[in-house]
Amino acid sequence: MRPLLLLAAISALALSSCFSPGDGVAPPLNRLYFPTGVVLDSVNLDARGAPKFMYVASSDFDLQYRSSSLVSFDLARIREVVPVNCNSNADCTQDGTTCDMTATTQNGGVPSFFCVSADQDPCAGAAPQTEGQKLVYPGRCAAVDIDHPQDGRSSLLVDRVGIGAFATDMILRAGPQTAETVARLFLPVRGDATLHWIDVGTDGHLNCGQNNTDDQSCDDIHRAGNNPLENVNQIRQPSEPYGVDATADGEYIAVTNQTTGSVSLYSGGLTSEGPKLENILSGLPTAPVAIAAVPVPALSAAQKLSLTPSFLIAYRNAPRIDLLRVRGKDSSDAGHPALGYAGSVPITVNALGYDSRSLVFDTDARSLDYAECAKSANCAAPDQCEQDPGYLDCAKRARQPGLFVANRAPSSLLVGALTPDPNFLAGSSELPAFTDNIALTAGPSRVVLGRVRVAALASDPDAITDDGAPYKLERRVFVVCFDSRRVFIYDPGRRVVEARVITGRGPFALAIDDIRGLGYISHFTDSYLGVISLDQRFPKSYASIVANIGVHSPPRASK
Amino acid sequence: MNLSFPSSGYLSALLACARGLAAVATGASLLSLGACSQTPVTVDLHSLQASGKVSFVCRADDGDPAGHKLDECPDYEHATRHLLGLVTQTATNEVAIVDLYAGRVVDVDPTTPGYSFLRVGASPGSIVTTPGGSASFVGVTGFQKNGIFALPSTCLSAPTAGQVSRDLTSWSACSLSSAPGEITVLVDPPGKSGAIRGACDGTAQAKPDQDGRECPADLTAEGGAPGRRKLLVSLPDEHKLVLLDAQSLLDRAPGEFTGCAVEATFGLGAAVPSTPIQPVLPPDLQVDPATPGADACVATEYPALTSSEQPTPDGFALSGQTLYVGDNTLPVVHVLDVSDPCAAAEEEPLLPHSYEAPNRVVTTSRVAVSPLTPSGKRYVYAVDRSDAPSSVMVFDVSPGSSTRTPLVFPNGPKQPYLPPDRLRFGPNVKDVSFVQRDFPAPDPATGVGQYGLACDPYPDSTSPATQYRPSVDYSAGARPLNLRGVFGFVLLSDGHIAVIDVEDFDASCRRPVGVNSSQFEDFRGCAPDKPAPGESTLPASFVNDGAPTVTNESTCNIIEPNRPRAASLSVSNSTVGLRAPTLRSFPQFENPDPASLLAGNERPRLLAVDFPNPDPKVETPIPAQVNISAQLYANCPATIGAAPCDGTAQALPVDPVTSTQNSLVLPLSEPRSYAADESPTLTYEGALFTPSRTSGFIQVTKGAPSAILHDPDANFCGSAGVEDSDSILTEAAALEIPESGGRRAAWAKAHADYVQITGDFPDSDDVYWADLAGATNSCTRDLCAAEFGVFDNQADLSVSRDLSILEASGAQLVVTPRCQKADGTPDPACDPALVLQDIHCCFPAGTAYTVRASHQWLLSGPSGTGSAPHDIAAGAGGRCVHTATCDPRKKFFHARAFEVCNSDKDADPDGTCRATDPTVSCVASAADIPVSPAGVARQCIFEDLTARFVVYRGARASTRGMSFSWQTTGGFTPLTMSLSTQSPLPTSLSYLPEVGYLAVIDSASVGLSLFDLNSLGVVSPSPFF
Repeated sequence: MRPLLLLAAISALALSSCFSPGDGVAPPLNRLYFPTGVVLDSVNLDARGAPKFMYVASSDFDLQYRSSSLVSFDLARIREVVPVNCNSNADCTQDGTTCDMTATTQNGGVPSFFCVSADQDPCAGAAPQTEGQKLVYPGRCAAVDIDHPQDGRSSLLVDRVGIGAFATDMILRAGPQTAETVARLFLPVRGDATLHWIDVGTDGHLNCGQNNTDDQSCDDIHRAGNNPLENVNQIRQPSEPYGVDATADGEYIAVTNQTTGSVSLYSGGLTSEGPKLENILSGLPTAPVAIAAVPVPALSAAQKLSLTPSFLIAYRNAPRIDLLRVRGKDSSDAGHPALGYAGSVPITVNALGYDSRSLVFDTDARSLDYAECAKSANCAAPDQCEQDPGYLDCAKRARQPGLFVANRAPSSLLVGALTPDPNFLAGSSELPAFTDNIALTAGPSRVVLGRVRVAALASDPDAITDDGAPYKLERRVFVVCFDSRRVFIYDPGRRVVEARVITGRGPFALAIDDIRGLGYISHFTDSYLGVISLDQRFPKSYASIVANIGVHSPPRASK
Repeated sequence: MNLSFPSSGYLSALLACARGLAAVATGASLLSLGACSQTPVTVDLHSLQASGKVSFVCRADDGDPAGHKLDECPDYEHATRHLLGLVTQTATNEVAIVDLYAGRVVDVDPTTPGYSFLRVGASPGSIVTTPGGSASFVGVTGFQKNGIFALPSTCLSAPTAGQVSRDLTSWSACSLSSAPGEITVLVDPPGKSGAIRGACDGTAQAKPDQDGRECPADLTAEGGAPGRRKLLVSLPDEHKLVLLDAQSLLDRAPGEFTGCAVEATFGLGAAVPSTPIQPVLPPDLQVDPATPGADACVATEYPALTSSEQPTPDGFALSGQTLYVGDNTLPVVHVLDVSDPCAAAEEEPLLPHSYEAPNRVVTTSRVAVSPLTPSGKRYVYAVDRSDAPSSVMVFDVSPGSSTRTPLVFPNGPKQPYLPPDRLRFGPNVKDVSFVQRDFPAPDPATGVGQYGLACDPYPDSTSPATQYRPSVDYSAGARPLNLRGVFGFVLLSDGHIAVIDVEDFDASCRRPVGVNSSQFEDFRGCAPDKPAPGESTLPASFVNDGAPTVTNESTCNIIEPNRPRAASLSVSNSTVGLRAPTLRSFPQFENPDPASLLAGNERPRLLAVDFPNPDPKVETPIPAQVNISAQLYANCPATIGAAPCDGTAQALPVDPVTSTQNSLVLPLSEPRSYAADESPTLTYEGALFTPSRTSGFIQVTKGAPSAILHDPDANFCGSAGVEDSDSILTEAAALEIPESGGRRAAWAKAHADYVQITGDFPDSDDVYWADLAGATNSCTRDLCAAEFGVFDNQADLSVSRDLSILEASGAQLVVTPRCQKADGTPDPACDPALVLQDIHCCFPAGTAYTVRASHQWLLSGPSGTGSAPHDIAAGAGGRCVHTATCDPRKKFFHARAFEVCNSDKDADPDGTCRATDPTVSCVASAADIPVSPAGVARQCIFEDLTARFVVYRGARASTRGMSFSWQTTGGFTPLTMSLSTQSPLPTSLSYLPEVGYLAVIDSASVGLSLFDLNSLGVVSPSPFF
């Protein structure tokens, strides 16, 4: 049975996933290979505010190559190869296209409700998948070749570099703003136990000192944490880094180390020298995997000075969430930024509370309340309410950021928020409390925040009319369930699971492209991206995979 | 179905997806793969997946497979009627059938591998069945697939010969404009003429269009209350309820999915009150205006509510002709009169609020309404979904009740683990339900049993209600597991179901045998007793012919309405075990300094003290008494014939001069004060932070005598309860320390908490010493070690690390060096500014520290860390202040005990027991010792919710770290039931009165579980999964 063998192979590999860079076959840079990180470029935006580029990190999980790759996708090109949904011909605005809404020979008797050109082919040159293929690789049409897409036009890729093997996660922060760089990517890499950092240019090109060889490998400068001489305590990044997050300004980056029960702190994330390993907080429960930077409240600059950056950590082996706080250089004369344990809450909202895999904050409600407070205090914006006691009092009572946790014991989404506590300046101790747990299917592994397109009336003040019928964007929480091949779409406003996306094997990382109404899910097992329609105006395709990017590549052990 | 599989890491992941025969095949494969493994494990295969809710149907299984009323099932004689559970399957868009009579899950398509169920159009949500059992209706939600499916009971089975397979086209259905929420069945009763209207517009009821159907359903002919069956459906996204005609829906052609015919729409227009709401507070939560400082208290008035949100209906609870509807966005529970379903009228809503957080907008999810109790009470339980964790509010909706806010219960100040207006548990509340049950004992005279008789404890009574008294061995009659009355059941997210006492018919027989003849509540929480009905005198005790007529529990408050039910009798004896608050042994004294051997009279003593007489006009105290293990101990001056001084109790030591043991007593008025087992420690100059905090940053201004210690997460007021030299003046006043001559101020300064730096200096090879200290300071690590000592032995840190707290607030402390010598006397050579400069240099980064009480004993909290519950919180300006004056919930919160010293020369050889000494709190002469409740030094009697004692200073002064420790057991343990799985995701709870089972749905693993309320265990062969 192939799934069984696949699981066996993957698990066996997981047990032996130690890697040391060396000679071997160079990784292919024009394909995905066990992709684990997907990030949209929130800095390079088009005129509509949509991200221009997407970065996907592969992990070389089965040791077939000597390292792995990071590629930059052109999202406009991806949009061109992803079918356009329609309900009627009026939705097909591109010249010569009509809505495929009747049974034809070309659509095999099943209308696709895609905009099709004159040839009426819903797959636009790609072969339609068989029913059997669709079971394993959901989506109507064959996968789009990354470098040679079936539309005959240019590659979907903008750039590609080589990274160490077994990247586990990836984040992006704006800056440093230079002529060549507008954003920076950070990736924990298990193979060489480093934090990779890669600069992103305005054109989506990547710069990590790559060596212009066949694997375009990043240089040593762009691998932080492996040089004990770079910090005063001569420490080195522990093995098995896993989760990563950074403060909004990119100054501090924290990485969870899953086998040592520790968290590494890097500082200077956006400096020209790159991040520097400063401190390793140990003594935590083993297997810290989930991490999220606590969002900084919109208080005045003077007030923010008293708020020190912090992170929430969750574990596979402990039913609790810890608050770790950065003690910055300003806090001490010794001059070492350090991560300190600041508090903990047990997870009691479900039966066991063990095995939390991912957590994410939602600050929408607090932002709305802050704006109302600023309005009441006659400030133009929260940041300008300098020491206004009325604003401060109002802000302290604002709704606290929501928190969502993917937990596996039992499989559920934990719904909560930072605990209100008037003893603190921002109105919260920054420790969470949970109010609900939502039942999921097996293996929740990642939780992501995003928005979906919802049909709206033109008279709706929030209505957007830049793409056909009016729509508006509504907040959703997406939970990826690796084991059961599902992505749950949870509506936090209505507190219901709105839809379940059936994915291919091993859904892993997910990024939501709000503006285009699409989601991109990396399939770890078969090494491709699935594109999910997140536009409720088109109910026949909403919450389903409408395209596959990258040729499906089952693991060698299952071939 | 159970299969034995070899141990394998892949099993759990794979089996989650396995189902039916496919799963068997998978298992077989795994068997072969893991054949070498030697440890077989049993794995349960599941046919149900992601179960949501259940509705029960009584269905005939004979030639006429129609539905019946639930009380017509099961039919044991002919076995033709089976009770079915219809369980929604949210992940597979199906409704599963569980045949409770046959004890199996029904496969409606045996020709297909695996279990097949009844497929509906989208994810099923609410499911209801008509009173006569003819049909069930399922609300389905899916993107543009919202609607209702009708499942006739005639087809709740596998197809019979000649029938086609059950699929979507088997059912009548209609679509809704948005996702349906809750559904309930209402009955439109016959008019005055007896005619039944077929529709709200008055159209006469016609014959249903069911001819020729494979799955017919005629609601007009079914059993149950006469009238037309209507479906009231909530549409949360549209903020309204809609009414549908059930038979009309059934009459639709199967397979169609056109719009539902809405007969009436109800917009839920209950307005949120814009004026402040006056809560109804019990006397013990009202702030006495005569109390000094009461005028500064915030008025206990809920603020005016403003909300621009629209109502969003959530859970339903129907009671007769009244429907209660929870609201997901507004702080209201809607109340609808549905006596005429076509013209439902909204009445004054219930108003959810929080006593603890009155500014919070409290929204509700599930609601339940109780039956009317024999005493005429009816309650609505509503789940506060925005609480963390979600909790239950109780509304009194009894006939004649005008209270619309949640009940605020008495005894709140004595129940530290429960909010006064909530039922809150550690896990979240998922659902609530009520159960009413009784087993009427036949009247010996008439042979007729009467429902709802309260147990009669009066010894001379011969009424039928005496039959409910407990038996001597507690095997029958009133006891915790005998659920006779009205009870609430609360489903928790961890899979437990908590039992709530609403009206226990046996409550009057659950008490001590002693009679309280005074006019005041006694120390066991017993209110003044009344004579038996028709009698004028009280009985001497609740004993008849030497046998108690009651349970003789330790308190009169073991049962309190709308509070969690105790799992055991509050009794400690050799028969029952230690189930009442009990000391396991006498308290133990420990001296941390092994080199300091203390003679008996040199040690401090912890000793019990009598209880005050409940009548303030009577000085005679109630003898101190406590159970130590199964033996009762009491302070009896003589055997006086009445319990506890009737010869049954052993002598309890209370006199420090003569006693060789330490002791204390346990207040018994409120059993819910006690956790099940506790191990308190009373430590001289104990630490408020255990372990030390590691994140203190000391900010020093050159030349200043004080510094600031920053720690943003410490919460010095709320969590730790730090006393600075201002806040502790409240304690000084309570101890009657005179203000004259600056004595109170001096006492406060001596007793204010102090910071103890417990961390080390930077490592010797740290660049700090070379770069920063070397360049800007003159200190070195060796000099630091010389001044502040090493930190290796935390029990013996240098006193130079101690900093008195001048001001405490949430995140920072203003401190100054304590300037004491090692023996505790002042160090006149100490220069605070210089010491602080050295601290600044020696502890440059964040340092570890704790805060300690000064010249007093600190009681540890229940978990053994930090201090016991206290009444300190952040006040105006963020400073730590005492709040018990304004917050009656904290009236009994105490964490600090102050010593009584004996001023006689023998007991005070150093002559330090002087009232003028600022380190001394209470002085008594030998004649006044032991301390009595009305005597000298009574102000130093310590009493909180779980301990009452006096600490007597020994002939040598107490030193830091001395401690008394003891263990209590028999605390309150709530009665719960549990799902038989380790990792449940319970979703719903319902009561099936016809068979007396409580039904629980678990989404994760065990599907449908049925609980027997006699044994509180799962009924075999359930769970069905």
